[in-house]
Amino acid sequence: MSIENDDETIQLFIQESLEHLADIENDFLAIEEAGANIDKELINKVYRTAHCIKGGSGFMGLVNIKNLTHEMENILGQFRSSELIPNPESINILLIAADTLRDLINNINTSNEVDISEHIEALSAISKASLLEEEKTPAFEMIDITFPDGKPGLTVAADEISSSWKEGKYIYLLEIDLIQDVHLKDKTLQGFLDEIQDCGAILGCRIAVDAVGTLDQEGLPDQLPLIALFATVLRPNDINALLEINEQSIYDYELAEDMSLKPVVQKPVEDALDSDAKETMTVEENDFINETPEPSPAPAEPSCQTAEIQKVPAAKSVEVESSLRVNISLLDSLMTLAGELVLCRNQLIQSINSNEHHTAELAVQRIDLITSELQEAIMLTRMQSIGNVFNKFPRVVRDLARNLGKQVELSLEGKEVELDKTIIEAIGDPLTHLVRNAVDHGIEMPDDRQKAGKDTSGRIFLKAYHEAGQVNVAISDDGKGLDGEKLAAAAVAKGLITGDQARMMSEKEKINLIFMPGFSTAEKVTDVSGRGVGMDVVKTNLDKLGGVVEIDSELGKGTTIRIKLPLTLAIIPSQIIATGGERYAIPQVNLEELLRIPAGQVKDKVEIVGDAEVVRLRGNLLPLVHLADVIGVERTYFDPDTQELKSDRRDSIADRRSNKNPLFDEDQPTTKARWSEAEIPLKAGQHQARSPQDRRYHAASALNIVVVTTGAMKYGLVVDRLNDSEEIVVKPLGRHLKQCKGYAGATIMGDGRVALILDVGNIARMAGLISLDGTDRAAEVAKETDDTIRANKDKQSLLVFRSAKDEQFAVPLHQVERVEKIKKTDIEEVGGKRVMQYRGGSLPLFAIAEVAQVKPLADEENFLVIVFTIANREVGLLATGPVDATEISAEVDDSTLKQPGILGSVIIGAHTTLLVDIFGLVQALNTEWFSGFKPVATLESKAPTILYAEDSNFFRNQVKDFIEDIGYNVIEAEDGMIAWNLLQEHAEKIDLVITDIEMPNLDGYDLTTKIRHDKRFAGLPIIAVTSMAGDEEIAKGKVVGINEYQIKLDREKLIDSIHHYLQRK
Amino acid sequence: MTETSATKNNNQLDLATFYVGNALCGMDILKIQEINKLIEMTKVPQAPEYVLGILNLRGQIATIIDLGIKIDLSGTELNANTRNIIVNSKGESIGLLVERIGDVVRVNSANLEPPPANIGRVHGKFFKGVFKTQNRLIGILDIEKILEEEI
Repeated sequence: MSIENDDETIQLFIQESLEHLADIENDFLAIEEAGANIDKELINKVYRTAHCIKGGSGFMGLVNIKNLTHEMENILGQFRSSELIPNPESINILLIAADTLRDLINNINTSNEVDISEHIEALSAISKASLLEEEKTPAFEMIDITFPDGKPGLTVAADEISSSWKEGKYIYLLEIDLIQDVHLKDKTLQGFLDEIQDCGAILGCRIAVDAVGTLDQEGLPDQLPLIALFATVLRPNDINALLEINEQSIYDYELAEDMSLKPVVQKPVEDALDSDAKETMTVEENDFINETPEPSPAPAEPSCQTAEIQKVPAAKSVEVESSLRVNISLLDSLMTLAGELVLCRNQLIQSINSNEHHTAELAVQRIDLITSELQEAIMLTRMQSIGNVFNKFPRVVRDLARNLGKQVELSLEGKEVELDKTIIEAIGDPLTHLVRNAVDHGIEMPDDRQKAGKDTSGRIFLKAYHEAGQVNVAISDDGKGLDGEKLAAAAVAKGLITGDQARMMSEKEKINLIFMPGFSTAEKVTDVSGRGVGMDVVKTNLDKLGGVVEIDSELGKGTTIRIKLPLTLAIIPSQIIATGGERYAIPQVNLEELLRIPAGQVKDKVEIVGDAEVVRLRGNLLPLVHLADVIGVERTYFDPDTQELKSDRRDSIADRRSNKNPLFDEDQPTTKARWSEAEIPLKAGQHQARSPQDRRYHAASALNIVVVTTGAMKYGLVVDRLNDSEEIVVKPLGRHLKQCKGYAGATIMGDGRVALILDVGNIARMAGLISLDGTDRAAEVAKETDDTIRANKDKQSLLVFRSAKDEQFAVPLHQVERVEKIKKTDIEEVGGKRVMQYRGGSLPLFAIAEVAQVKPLADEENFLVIVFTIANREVGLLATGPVDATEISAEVDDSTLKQPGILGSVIIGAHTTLLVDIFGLVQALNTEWFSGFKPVATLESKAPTILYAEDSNFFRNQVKDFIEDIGYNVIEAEDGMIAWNLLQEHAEKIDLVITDIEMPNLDGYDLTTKIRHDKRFAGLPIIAVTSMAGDEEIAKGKVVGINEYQIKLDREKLIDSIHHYLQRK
Repeated sequence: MTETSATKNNNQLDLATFYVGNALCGMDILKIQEINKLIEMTKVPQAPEYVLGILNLRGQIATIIDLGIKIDLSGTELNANTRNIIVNSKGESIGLLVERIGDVVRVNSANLEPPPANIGRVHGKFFKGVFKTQNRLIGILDIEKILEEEI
């Protein structure tokens, strides 16, 4: 075997062993948890792992690895036979041994030099403890086996042979010639071993280097025997069907009474214990019987075994990380694609040579397609599941919790989510840090938790999921949370911010201070989390990956950290924009939405808060940043009439507004009243300074805004033009441009020119929206002002549209699947019903006027179809524009205009708007669809009872009505406190709780927490209903114990959910 | 390295010469990756003044530096004669914009003399030395030093 071959085998061994070891930790933990109820399958799995590694290491002369795995195997064997009950102590030792094993395998060249006696002792102490009483073969008794003709065979642990023998297996001594039997038959050694291991177990093996001969001998060596002791159920007659080796090389052995292994009958019997001493393992154990016999008189070549050992360290530079396992079918598809690419290239060359424009075009199209497929396939080869990272956390959490004396439960979700290899490798450390932080700083000590009325064992919830082409990772705990005040005080003390700044900050901003460079919260540095790495490093590391990190925390309740990661680093989808005549790319990760404010509306939408320009976006104020100003180029705008860029001389967008600024106009006291002077330092001089003749008012200059986000910060970047979104390849910038913080790199565009990639985080900083920016502040200001004029009601996102020209309707936005524009001619009337062809099927269409007493649908050329999914079918509601999405919190009037198909009315934009009851409409038109929603119980008394907590009359009535419609009893509560009291009153009666989240006195989370802490209600299902369910709410809800989230007025899903929980009961 | 190529070739050294302002400068021709005409660049707002922009050099991003500004002269005037000398420095491609390209001159490296205080208004610190030819001085630019980042 050449050195290279050797190297390859070792590589394979390392790879396989590491793969095996990857799961071993979690398996050990599962074994520990199961305790005495051992899961045989699981233990077998771990046993096999240890055994595999042992087999390989013995074969390669890796003594330490072999000994260590052997000991582990012993313990596992005792677990399996219930001689030993797994307990935390023994598992701990096994875990440590597995760690050591991993280290040994990672540094395989030096593995034989490491001192592992400590581990061996610890391990054998466990296994011996149980062995003492029994009169068993000592674990370390070794049997030397020789060939019937006296050739030295190998040395194998006696207990293994005897256990195989007792299982009724046949034992064979094999002499496999690696050259004749493996190499020349086009097999690989690994493949061969795998194949035979499928049918039995290799109890021990070695390569007989002595048989190869020396250089002095004539001719090249033509054999390289691998001597193996093989235990299998295959009979002597059948064994060679598997092995396909020379019959003469298979020797059948049997176990004699004196625990020695002897060749079966007619073959010459030899003394089984005769062998060379070098084969016997020596381990510093006092009380094991070392059956080292007299050195054999046979001319055993002085060092067949040592020669093997020395050869291993000679095979240098084993790099594990440099190789990757790829699915064969993926590789095949790559090959096919490469083949296709070559064909297309030929086609292209040919058509260009012969000047055939049409075929060239076709070829280019094909190449376009193939390139994307190729890119995707290659990306796939680099994808690895995030489970690789997650899987180490149970161990991390367990060890840490043990050290700290805390009780922590870790749940993992979304292990299968895949990310680029480089990202997987890079997020390991930040994530570990966050998880450690959660255990160390987040979860309180059990008695503190008890005092706070929480379960003694804390929960950490780790979740990965896909969203909008990115991978999100959320880490939530139900620990003590972060104290914004404390953080702010610490930041002030460290001189990171000023006291004034701290006072201006919102709670969220204060919490986000933790990410500031130089900030470390640990009051004392523990060896656990305070390893000199603060949260700022976590953030920096994630920033480098193009990730975004956000933190949310509530004092006493817990902390949630959310990380958004791109799927891959090399190629990122980006939005291309242009400013000052140059194109720039904004990574999609940072992109929230694109906003265009037509010239005519600029003056209405853009306002000034403090000295910052803001735009009002769905009730929030969004600070605006001019890219041109930040990077110091001349402001320009794109003139659609002349198709050219013109210089924009205005100082601020506010100048585009007419002088009759509602914000400053005395005639509009209502608007003015909304702004409390103390909150917003208005520039008093600004109004007077602007004279009517002054510059401005270019009617054509619409504002193009890219709404970008970097974690907690969200702002609008004003650019000249919005171009396409493109997938770009990130290239680094030269060192002379390192000082330009606004760019994350550069990319080459389709036309060969270079475009810069913007770093939106740094741009915000350059624009003075310092890290803990005005965004949340602005949002708060807006909220406060809104609160002064509006009652504090649930917000509801609505899609506003019309049917007849002058009647405005709205539906809850979350019920809408899609909105499609169609022509009148697309509508077909078939069988008395209106349908349109849609995605290969027929979409039933209806108008509101078919059910409700409203004006008929306007007769126009173009319609809008609002697509809903009701009763698992798609239906389309015919409507006309303009459509708009809006968020309202006004009181819904559910009496005046209520009628079939109409839930009630609300004022939107000074119009009375009818809220459409989609469910009711569809039900009225297609009663037969709803047969599944028949009442569940006919007898009043036997119907399950539901407690429903909701502060809004409108929603309470709506939801109560439809729950009662399907036959349940409903007990209403106006807030969480009332609900809690009612629950205690009717403890026996209530089968399910439905609760709103935002309620006065006691909110939904607290109500749930209270319920969950009362033993009587441990199994009571709780469904939360909200107007908008974000992932963070869901995660938070899960932590406190909410079973499910449903959206208000999504009647169908809510009913399903109620059925689900009540029928399960 | 100028020295190594010189020793290889009987101390003969081929210099690519070019003009920065009025100064005739030279550098070892083997250090030059390519010389090209000015093609369309992408401006980098906020970059140091001497960085003219970046361009796509067959898939690599090359930073174009106005050699004139970098060595404290006035900016290079862009015309038909201006050229980019692309050099590879510390693993990245950098383009040096020069007024115009001169001849390739073969010199004997033994004749390298220490630089004077200045050559045609360019400070001597940017030069490794000078060669005297029959009618002119050629200043040998110390490219690595010139390309050092300013902190």
